[in-house]
Amino acid sequence: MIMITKEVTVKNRAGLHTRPAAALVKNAAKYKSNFYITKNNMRINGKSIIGVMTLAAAQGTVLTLEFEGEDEEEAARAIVQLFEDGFGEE
Amino acid sequence: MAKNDDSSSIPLTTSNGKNGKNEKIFRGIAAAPGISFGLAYVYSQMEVVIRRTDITLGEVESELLLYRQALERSAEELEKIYDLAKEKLGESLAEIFQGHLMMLHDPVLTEAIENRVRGRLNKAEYAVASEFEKYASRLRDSADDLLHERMQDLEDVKNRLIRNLQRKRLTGTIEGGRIIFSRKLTPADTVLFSRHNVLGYVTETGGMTSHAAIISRSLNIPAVVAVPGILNEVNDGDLVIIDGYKGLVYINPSDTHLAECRKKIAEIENIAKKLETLRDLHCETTDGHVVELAANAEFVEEVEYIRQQGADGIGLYRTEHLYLLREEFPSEQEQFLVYHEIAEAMHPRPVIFRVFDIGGDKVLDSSAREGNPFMGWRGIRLLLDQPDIFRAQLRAILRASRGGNVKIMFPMISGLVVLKAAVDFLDGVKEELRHEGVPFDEEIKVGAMIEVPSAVLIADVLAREVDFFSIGTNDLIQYLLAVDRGNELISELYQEFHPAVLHAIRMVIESAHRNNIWVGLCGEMAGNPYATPLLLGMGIDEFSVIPSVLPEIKHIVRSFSFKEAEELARRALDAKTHEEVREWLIPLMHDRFPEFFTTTMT
Repeated sequence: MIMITKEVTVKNRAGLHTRPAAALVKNAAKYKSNFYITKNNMRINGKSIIGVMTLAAAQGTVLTLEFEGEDEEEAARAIVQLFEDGFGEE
Repeated sequence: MAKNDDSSSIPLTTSNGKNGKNEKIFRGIAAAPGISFGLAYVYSQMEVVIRRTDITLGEVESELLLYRQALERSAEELEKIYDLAKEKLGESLAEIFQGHLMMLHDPVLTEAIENRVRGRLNKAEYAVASEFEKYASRLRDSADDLLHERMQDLEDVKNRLIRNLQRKRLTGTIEGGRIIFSRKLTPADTVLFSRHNVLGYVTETGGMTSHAAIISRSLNIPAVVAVPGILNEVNDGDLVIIDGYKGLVYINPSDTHLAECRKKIAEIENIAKKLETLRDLHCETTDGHVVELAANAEFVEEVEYIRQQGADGIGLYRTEHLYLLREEFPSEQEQFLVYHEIAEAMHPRPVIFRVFDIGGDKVLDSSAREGNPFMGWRGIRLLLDQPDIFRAQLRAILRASRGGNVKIMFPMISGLVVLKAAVDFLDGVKEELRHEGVPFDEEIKVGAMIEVPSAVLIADVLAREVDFFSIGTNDLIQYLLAVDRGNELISELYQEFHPAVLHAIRMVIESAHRNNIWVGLCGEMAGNPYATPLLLGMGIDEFSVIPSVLPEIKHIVRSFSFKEAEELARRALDAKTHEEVREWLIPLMHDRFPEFFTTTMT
């Protein structure tokens, strides 16, 4: 199985704060693939709300997303879109 | 956030009180207004002590079952709290508990806990405590305030889960009509207690902006927070009075204080009934002179309360907290979302956004501190030198102005050149937006804050450049009288009725009206009920006050005729000293409004 890696930038005003973090985790849960987020040297499971919180990704932070699993393409597309839309905050 | 000094755990006074017990009075931060008395309920959150206990291999499955049952019970509790919070507080504050639910069900955490039980044969409660602690310590180390708040949430979820593992009931039964004393209060505690007809909250920690304080205010339950050491002083069942206006807590109050308190409560109830009827009425004198009555605001959470209080708008929206919360200037988009939310929530009533009024110490590093920051690089002076910051904020405000109810105000205006520079800068930003095709209110109104004495003296010149003035009395009085109100040695020289202050206000009003612009007053003086008839009579067009006093000020305005207010204003302007004004004004107001001035407003 190949792994998909994407780079995204956090666009949201207060970064990945409570609301976008929740949206991210809820969406990630829809896919079977494993999903990891890396910021600098910190790598967390993207399906874990607490993990995403501890990332403390402020606006402008560049994150590396990894998707691995049978539906990795769909997952990658959906999650990258979420980041690009700023999690529907505007 | 206000700081309390360490001395507040020492009783302010002690004297012989009821039943031979000593009356003790403590001061904290007044976090939610109201007065009540009743018996103390000392709520000690269990200090959950979890010792490492291991199980045998044969016990693994039953231990995991216990863990899953505890998860389920915790989730049920949280769902209930969420529903209750949604009903009592509305969706946005209730979201805290949605967050708790997500943490509870976090798959990574759950898996780690289960693995620990299976692999290391830890008892579930120890596994829960250890796994939560891993994350908590990461959040604790972070410098980010918001993350600290999240850590509190994580802690709440952990404690809930462990309590359910230990099969303890929720908080036991709180008898109705108690005043809760606690080290701290979680948002969940605050919501749940409110079902038991809680009369008030006193906590050792917290501040004005903690979740619990905001929730108490929306639930209308008096609260005093940041009273360190109070738990060592109060016993379960002690008779206590809590004054959420002044931030005072009386333990074993004297008969005198108790009688005073009963009287105040009765009066407050009466007033509240009376004032309710005012909510939808204009702020209008008996002879038909209408003024705007707006509120000062800082947080999105306040808007609901402000609307309930019947405000005509927000006369001063302070934007500094956006910076102070994060120790860096928020982005345009981040600001836009906040401004947009406020403007929408108040629509069609106006919202006046004051651009960042912060001092140079926030931008300069500590080696470049100014000797006299109050007369230094602050407000508009700083913004004009930091065009990126200024541009981002103006763009955000302009973008939020599409609904047509947004106005902009510049602080620290001391002369025409500075004001013109600010207005020109704004015009440049508008042009940018037009060029980009970004819509905003082309008719947006711009005002100058009048808070520097020089601006008073040249108000005529300034009035030609703007659409309105707003007099910031807090700073104006300090600058005019050269009195730092925070300096206890001279604080009695800070005088709202000093003739220089009254004449300055009148000059500004006259200059504004001569130039056909309106003028408001957004300092604390606007919410001082004694000053109401004087300001009204001098011709102020808008009062912008702290939301809690809004109905009282409206009631006072509605009780005077404009003619009478004008006479009182003239009389005050003729006085030679602050004391001379107070000598007749105070008895006059007490006579006129006996119900108010014995209570909360002094």
